[in-house]
Amino acid sequence: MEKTRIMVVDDESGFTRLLKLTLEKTGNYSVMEENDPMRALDAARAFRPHLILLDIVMPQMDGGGVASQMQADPFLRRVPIVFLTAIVSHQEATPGALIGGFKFLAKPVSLAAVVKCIRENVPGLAA
Amino acid sequence: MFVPGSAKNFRVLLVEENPVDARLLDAMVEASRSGFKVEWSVRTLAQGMLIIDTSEVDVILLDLTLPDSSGIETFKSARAHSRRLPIIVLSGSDDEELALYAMHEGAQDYLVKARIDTQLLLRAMRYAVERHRVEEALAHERNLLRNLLDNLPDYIYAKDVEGRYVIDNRAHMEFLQIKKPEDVVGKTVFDFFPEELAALFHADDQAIIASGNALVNREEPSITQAGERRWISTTKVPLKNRQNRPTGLVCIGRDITEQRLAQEQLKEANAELSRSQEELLKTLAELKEAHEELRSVQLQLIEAEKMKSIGRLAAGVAHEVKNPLAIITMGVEYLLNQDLAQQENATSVLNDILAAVKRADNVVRGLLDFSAPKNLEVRTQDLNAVINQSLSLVRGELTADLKVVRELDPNLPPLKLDNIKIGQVFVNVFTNAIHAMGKAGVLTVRTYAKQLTGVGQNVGDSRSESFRVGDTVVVAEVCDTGSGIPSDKLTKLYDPFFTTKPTGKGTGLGLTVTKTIVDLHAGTIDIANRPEGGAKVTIMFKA
Repeated sequence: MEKTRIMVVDDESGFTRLLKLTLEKTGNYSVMEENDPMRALDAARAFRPHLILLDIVMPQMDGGGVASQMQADPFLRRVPIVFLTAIVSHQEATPGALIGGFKFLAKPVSLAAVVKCIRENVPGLAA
Repeated sequence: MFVPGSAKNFRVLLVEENPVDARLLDAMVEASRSGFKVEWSVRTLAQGMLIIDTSEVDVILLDLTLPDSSGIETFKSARAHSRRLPIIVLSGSDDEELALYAMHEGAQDYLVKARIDTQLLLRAMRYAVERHRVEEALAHERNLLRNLLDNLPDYIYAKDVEGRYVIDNRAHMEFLQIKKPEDVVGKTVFDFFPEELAALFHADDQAIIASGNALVNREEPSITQAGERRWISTTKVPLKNRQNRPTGLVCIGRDITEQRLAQEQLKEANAELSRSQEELLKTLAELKEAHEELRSVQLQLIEAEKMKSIGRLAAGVAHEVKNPLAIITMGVEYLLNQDLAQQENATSVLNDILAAVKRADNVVRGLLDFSAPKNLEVRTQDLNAVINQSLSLVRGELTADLKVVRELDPNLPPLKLDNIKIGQVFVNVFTNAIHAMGKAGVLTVRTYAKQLTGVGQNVGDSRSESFRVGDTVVVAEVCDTGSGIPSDKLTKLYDPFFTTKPTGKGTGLGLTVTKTIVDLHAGTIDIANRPEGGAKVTIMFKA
């Protein structure tokens, strides 16, 4: 069975490495790390992910910028994007909340939450 | 002085042409032993005048028919020369009328020579001397009084019951511009003053005479012959005769124009002083008020700056702390899925780590909550005042080419608002507008109230369920001439952490917080691009 390709864009390499290790340990996912937002578009084109996990606060280009690049790309436009953000208050972290029309996960995030989010957002992986 | 029976001798000058008459008269005087003595007996007027000039004469017996003068001229010449010495005219029986005329001209008496006897002569001389003495005394007294009156600077005059001047002193004559007393005596105020003023003076005089009550120190306007207005302090006292019948009045007037002018200037200066003091007090009060306002604005500014700093700090801390927390979490999750988890206590240790991470995460979220809107403190407010307050808070961001235009309706209905939070809303909106305009532009702030009629822009909108047709709403519009908002960003404006501003200039929380606050007030906020460029923010509250 083809593994679900997850791309994680975050300048925190420690986080991306552990997320990759943890997700891949489950045996269901193939994870690509990208720590440089400027290279995210090219990397995504090559990797063709099923879902992109996108950090918001990054140097050079923030998550919003990366997301608009992805959405402008004909091959990536349909790929679901879930934001990862460190800056969310209790009030904002309510279920179903959106950032700029996108779903988001608040850091620190548990493996269960990431898996749940992937299942919910990648077509054909309905829980 | 003549005292009957006194030892004094009265020296008589006899001017008589006829030596027989002269001797007879001399003998009469001599024989009388009365104290009179004919000291000099001369035949001509010239000789008589010489004696008058050089000697102490007490009385003159003067025949009118002399070798060097005759008739009334004789008397007139002697009179003019005699310095008011008493003159008894001696006449013939045929010119008694002439003698009477001489009396009229000032002769003390006349004697018809043919009828003279010693008794008559003595009596005539005594009366003449005595009368002369009394006249002299009277004249002296009169002169003294006259001098007194004329040397006083006050106006002094007397009038009779008809208001005719009887006496007038020099000061008052000068006031009336009259040179001689005879030019004023017998005249009335109507001869010297304009009719209206004269009528007033005359009425006063008549009232005083009729009532017998004096008028004391009344300040009244008068006018000089040159037409100059003066103020006179007037005292008028009624005069009465022995039968207590009014005979007129006496008046003392003092020109107090300068005094009054000085008084008026003093009064004016006093008024000016008290006005200045009032103004000073008013200015002081205004200054105090301004100072209070400044203090309150300063406090709010400090508060706002503090909150901004805390918000920025919270965001920074969240970012810097949560990323490591994410790594720890992920790391623990990884370890939990390893064989290591089978070891004794390892799972519980790892779960303890997860719990600790969660606790740390909660602390950071609490910090973020602190800078986010909380419960409202609603009070009745004037929206314009809140807006002005917010404008003063962003004044520091304005430049010379960034103008603010206020079109605030002064008759807005009062609103129930949390002024601090709504103030924050406007500060956010103004700050966004100013950032969008850069260095130059116009920020227009407009308020008005309107009644919602039919299905308008905001009626039926899901965001404004609290508004119904017929509701009165208060609208605040904020327009800028900046870059406007890219159309694809319009729907994302209120999302947290979404910002179109360069890193460091915005937290991406401004409009999120703004929207939350407006929502909490059951109001609406609408952001749109203006056709002519720039953005327009419309905020509505139900009145």
